[in-house]
This record gives sequence, C-alpha cells and structure tokens, in this order.
Amino acid sequence: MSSFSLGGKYLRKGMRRLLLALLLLLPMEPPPAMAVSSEYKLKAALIYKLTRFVEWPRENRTGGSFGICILGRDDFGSALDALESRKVDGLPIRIRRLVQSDAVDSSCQILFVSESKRPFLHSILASLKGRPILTIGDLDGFAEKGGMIEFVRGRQRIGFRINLQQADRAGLKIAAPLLELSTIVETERT
Amino acid sequence: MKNMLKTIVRTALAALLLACAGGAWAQGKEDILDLPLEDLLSLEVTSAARKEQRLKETAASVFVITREDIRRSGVTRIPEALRLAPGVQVSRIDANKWAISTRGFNNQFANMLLVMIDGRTVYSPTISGVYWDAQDTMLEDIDRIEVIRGPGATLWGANAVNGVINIITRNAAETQGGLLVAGAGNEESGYGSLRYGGQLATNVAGRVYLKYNDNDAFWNPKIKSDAGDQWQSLRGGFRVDSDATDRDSWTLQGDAYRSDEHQLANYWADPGDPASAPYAPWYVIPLVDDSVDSRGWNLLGRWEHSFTSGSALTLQAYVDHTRRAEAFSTQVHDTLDLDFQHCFQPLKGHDLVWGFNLRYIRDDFENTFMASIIPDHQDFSLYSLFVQDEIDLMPDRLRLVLGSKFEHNEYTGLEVQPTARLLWLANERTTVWTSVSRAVRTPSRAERSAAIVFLIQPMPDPYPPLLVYGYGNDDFHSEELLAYELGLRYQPRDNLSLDLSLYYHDYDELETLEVHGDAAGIPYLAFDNNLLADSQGAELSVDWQPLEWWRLQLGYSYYRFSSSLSASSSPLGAIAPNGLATPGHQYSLRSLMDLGSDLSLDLWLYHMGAIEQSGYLSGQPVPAYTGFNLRLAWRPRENLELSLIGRDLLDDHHLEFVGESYLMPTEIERSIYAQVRLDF
Repeated sequence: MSSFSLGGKYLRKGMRRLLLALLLLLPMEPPPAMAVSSEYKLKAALIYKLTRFVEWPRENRTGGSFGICILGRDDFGSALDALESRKVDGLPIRIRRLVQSDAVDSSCQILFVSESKRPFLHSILASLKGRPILTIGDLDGFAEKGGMIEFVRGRQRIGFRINLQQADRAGLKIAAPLLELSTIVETERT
Repeated sequence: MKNMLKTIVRTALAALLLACAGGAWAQGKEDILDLPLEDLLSLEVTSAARKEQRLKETAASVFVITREDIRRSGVTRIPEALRLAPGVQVSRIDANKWAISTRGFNNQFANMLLVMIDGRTVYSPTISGVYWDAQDTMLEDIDRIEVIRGPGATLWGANAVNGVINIITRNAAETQGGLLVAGAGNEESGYGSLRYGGQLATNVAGRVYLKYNDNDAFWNPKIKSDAGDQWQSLRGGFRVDSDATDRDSWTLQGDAYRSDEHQLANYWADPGDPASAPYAPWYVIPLVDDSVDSRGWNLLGRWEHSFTSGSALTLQAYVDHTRRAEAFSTQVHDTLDLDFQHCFQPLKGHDLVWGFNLRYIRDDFENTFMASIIPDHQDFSLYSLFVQDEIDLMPDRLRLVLGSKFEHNEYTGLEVQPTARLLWLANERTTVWTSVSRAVRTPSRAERSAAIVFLIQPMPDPYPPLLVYGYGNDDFHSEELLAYELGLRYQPRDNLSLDLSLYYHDYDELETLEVHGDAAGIPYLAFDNNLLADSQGAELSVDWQPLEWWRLQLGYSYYRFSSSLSASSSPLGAIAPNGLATPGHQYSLRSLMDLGSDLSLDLWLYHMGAIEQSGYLSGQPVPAYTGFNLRLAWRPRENLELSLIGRDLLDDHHLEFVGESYLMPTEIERSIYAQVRLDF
C-alpha cells in the first residue's frame, strides 16, 4: 500500500474543499421531473396519466401501495422516481426495478417491459396472461405481440396502440376517452 | 492542481447559487405530471442535434460498450473498459501505462486512434497518441463508449485513421441523487467515487463528482521484485445540462485531475557533465525511481438547437490544459477548440451534415539532456471543414453516404479525407455495408522537432563516448491510408445477433527512423516516411442470450500485416517496427448470468496471441497469454450492491506489452478486490 507523497498536501486540501462543495449541494430540493431526456420524461408522465383511465379489479389491491415495475434495462433514469411523490386511488406509487420476469408478482399493477427484454417478449407476456397487470412497452409491435399498451413514437410526438382484447382477458377496464386517443390493435397470430 | 481545484470549487459554488435561485423559481412552474393527457400527447419530443442513428443502420464497423457492460466488467478505469470491445487491443505496459489501438499499430505512443470524451479530443499533439493514465471519469456516469474500427476521418478528422473511440457521459438529468462506489484489493489498493446530482432550476440539472484511485505496483521479472510503478490519481468534475426551451439545450462541463505516478527506468547520464563520471563508460543510470506528475483541467460548453423544419445545429467550444512532468521531459499544452455542425434536409431523401472546426494549440517544453523539442515553445493552429450527404437511393433499402473532410494544418497544409459508404438493408434481420475511405495521420510535434538521445556508445581512449541522436524532420509528412471495408450484421433470431467486418488497409508514407551519418561520420537517426504496408483483418462479435437470465458475448479479431521499405529509405538502414505489435488472433468470451434478481455472476475468458515485436525500439516479443476475470455481485437492497472481482486469475503475473526505451518489461499481476456501490 502506498499513500500520497508528492503533492499530497494539495490533494488533501483540494479534496476537503470539494467534499465541502458536495456537502453544500446536498440539501438541495429533490428534483422535479422536468429535465430528463425529454422522450423518457414524457413517457414517465404518460404512465402516470394512464392510471386515471384504467380500472384494476378490486381483489388485486393487496398491498398498501401502487406498484409500477420496470422489467429489464431502465431507460427512464430518475424520471420515474418522481412518480413516487404521487398517489393512485389514494395509494402511494412505488417504483420497482426487476431484472427477471419471474420476479413479477401481485405488487406490480403496471409492468413496463424494457426494450432489453425483446428476445423474451413472447414468453414474458405468456407468463402474465390473464393476470391483472397492465403491461406497457415501447418496442416495435409490443401490442400485437400481446402487450396491452404500446408507446409509439411518431416523427415528433408519442402515441398509443392498445390491445384491448389482452386487457379484457386480464380483467382491466380501459376508459373510453383513452381509447379515443389510441389505435386499437389485436394480437397477431403466430 | 490548486488552480484546477479552484475552478471546480468555484463552479460548484456557482451551481449552488443557481440552485438556490432556481429552486424558488421552480416552485411557480407547473409540473409535467399535472398536465392533462391530451396536452402530453401533443408535446413534441426533441431529438439530439448530432444525428443519432440506429446501430444496425451504420455503414461502419461499430461496437457500443454500454453502461451495463462497464458495470458488469468490474473495471475501475476507462482504458480497462475498452477491453470489452472486440478488435480493440488493450495491452498494459505497467500499472500506469497502456498501449491501446485498433487494427494494429499499437505501441506506447500508438497514434492512429482518435479518442474523444464528450466531444473533446484527448490525444497529445507531442506524440499524436493518448496518455491513458490521464484519461478517466466516473465510470458510473458514462452512458456508452462507441468504438469505431477503421477510418472515421471524414466526420471526426485527422488521426481517426484506424479507429475512433468516443466516450459519452450521461446527461446530468439522468444522474440525479447520490452515488458512492468504493473498493479495495491487492492491486487496487483503494478507490472511491462520489457523485451527487441535483436540480439547479426548472429544466437545469447538474452533478459534481470526485474520484480517487490508488494502484499498487506490478512485477518486474528482471529484478524479481516490485516494478516500482505504483500510482494515485484524483479527479473531480461537474456537468450541467439544460433543456432551456423545447428547441434548445445546452451543456456545461469540466474536469480537473492530478496523478502522481511512479516508474522505474534506466536513464542516460550526460557524459559532458562531471557528475556523470560514476556511470562511465556506458552512462546509464539504472533503476531510477522516477515520478510522473500529470495534471490538467478542461471546460466545455455546448449548445444545440433544433428547428421546426427538422434541421439542427450544434455549437461547441472547449479549453483543455495538460501538464506532464517526468525526468526526461516536461510538456505543457493548452488547447482551444471551436466546433460547429449543422444537419438538414436540402432535398427529399438527402440528409446533409456539414460543419467546421477551429483548433489552436500552444505548447511549452522543459528540455533535458535526454530529450528536447526544438523550439521548446510553439503555437499551432488547425482548421477544417466537412460535408457529408446521406442519400436514400431506395427508401429503407439502399443508402449511399458521400463525404469529405478538408483539414488544414501548419505542417502539411491541406489534407483531403473523403469517404464513400453504401448500406443495404437487405431485410429486417440483415444489413450489409461497404466503404472506401482515405485518412491521414498528421505529423506529431516529436516527429518534426525532437532531439532524443538514442544510444551512448563507449569509445576507446582517448575519445569521448559517441552520442547517437534521433531527430525530428521538417520534411516529415502525413501517413496515408486507403481503406476498403465490408460488413455484415445478421440477426437470425431475436436472441442471437452477429456482426462481422472485413477490411483491407493500404498504407503509404508510414513513419520510419532512418540511419544517417553527419559530416564528421557520426551516425544519427531521423524520422522519415519510407514504409509501405498493407493489413488485412476481420472483427467478429456474436451476442447470444440463450435464456432470459444468461447472455453470452463472443469477440474475435484477426490481423495480418506486411510491409516493405521504399527505395528512398537510407542505404545505411532504417528502423520500422510499425504494425508488428498486434497479435494475429484475439479472442474473448463473456458469460453474464443473473442467478436471481439480487445475484449475478459474470465470467470473462480471453486470449491474446503472441506479439512479434512490441515496443518501437526494444522490439521485444510477447508470448501469448490467456486471462480469466470473474465478478460476483449481490444486491441485498435495491440501492446497495456488493461485489467481488477477480482479474487475470490464471497466473501470478504475465507480460502484456513492453514500453519504450527507458522502461523495463513489467508484468501485470493477479488482482482481487471487493466493491460496494450505494445509491442515496
């Protein structure tokens, strides 16, 4: 083990000052969800808004929180964490990040399937069939492959494609105003 | 150091003031979460000004090292992370020196690779190479590392001959909150990184970081002991990003660093100095415990604007200061760089990008008996213009890219570096591309103005010893490459993808060191351009995810090289080891396993073939070796990760590369360390 020799004084002094500056920054207010790379900031807001238009079956309400789970790589950064200060039907939102699909349980009311799970989309969606979990994704053809809501990016805006049939089977009710803003698709036959 | 740290501290304090002011302002503004759904759906999504392309639609040999890859490799510094990309030869010379290149031409001062960190060029103009010990940042804040093998001169400029490495850090808005990473082990004596990111105002996010590494010495097989190459480095920095309006964004970032490095070296003593008498007749001072004091700071600002028409422009400026002091030389560089880019669609089916760059470099050297740069101070400027058009020959099927860079430098005047690339999207799963490009490597300061002692030869009494010098040459011009490439990307199944590139590189005017005799018959060496060469090779990467929790990554690269001296080479002989320091075969196999949602096990086996001749002058061969790395990580809580990392586990120590004249062969040792990572 070696320690600072040359210039150690400067380094230590410099480090102290920087740590001081860091400490000064600490009590800053928590970030509002405004500056995240705008695509995912908007998608996070859309996920939150969707909860107003979807009705989950009563028996699904087990825990004391509303679970929004992300499966696979998290592209949202801190944008989703901002939702934790909000509530759905009086329940505080809780964000969970999951590595594998077998970790999905009844604490997830919404499951966002990341692009990184593309190779296993079929088996993941098959394992969730009929469970009252709203599946959302932004990979191409998510809704046709059996996902419930797909975010599609047009040239400059984001829109929805909804697979109503899948939502019905899971006992989720999607309100008419949302359907009017969306394209309805069916599960493709393979 | 003091000044650099002052810069950071001042900026951090300014950021704090902004935060206080912004906090008050932010409260009045409506949160995006309170907007009605219809309004959200009508919001426009802004896109980055520099054209972002999907990987599978790039007509070049590209590999992207992701954040996840870096995290799961367990590496602690940037140069080590580059081992993840197939076709990148990362060879460690000693604890604080690396030889890194793509497609051959590796050595301590490898000069055919352009390296950038967030758009800032980091090569040293003295050697046209990269001092890797000075290049680092908080690894957890890196978004990705783009590795482009082959010439990238049209878009990126001179020295992007055999490849471009583009290190891109994350937007400050994506690195909010606190992060602490710390670890220790036998070789990694201790390291720690601390970052904190916060919201400075509405639409303005910032972060500051601090990183410290302490590395133990490697092994010197000649003296059978510690190689005396231990080192410590400290760096800190900040980044502020803002989406000022829907159409504008800006970034301000900066870093300052200092490292205190050791090297055990054999140096020349000046025979003309009476104090050198004890070292007669060879005048070698053996095993000097020298130190390298390397420090620097940089500050960069960038503004991006997108127009309603879909066109976008980027304006970027930076200043960069570096200082490197060791026994044989002290070099100081100040760089000022201004870059402008504009992309737009002049006609349907044409995506045009053009831009210009101005760079001003000022250097200053403290010369010694062993190495001098004459004159010891110089101002140098460089300006360039580029234009590139991407033409949809058949929409979503066939694309042609035509472009050229026109760069003017004070040494060789105008350099033209054109490229033509064709991309064929054969079907959803298959992409084929091909290209022809010209690239040049412009002279370094050393090749033009150095005077270096290469040899001291004892002579029979009463003659003084003979000093053989190597000199820079005012006529040294650019090295040239004409490259032909062919690539295939194929995804037979959703969980299997393959990327293959083949190349033929035809080089001309490559650097040689020619032997000459002066009027008195005393031999000397001088840089010249008398080597002709060609290389052929292939790079392959395969990514297979057989199960949801198991991923395999295979990398392979092949390299073959032949060269000959041109007729104008000196009849007395020439030294031309260029191109011989890369193995014919390099293999890498990684296995990434999620053993549960809180446990992961990653294994990494790699093999490097033998090197014919490493080191420019030493010419020492390096035997083949096989390495094995392991990482076990456990996440007991969502914000806490504990990991155990083992690297180069198969042997006690092995040789990877040999550095230049003064350095002795140094072997890399088995390294085991434990790390904790905490988000707060």
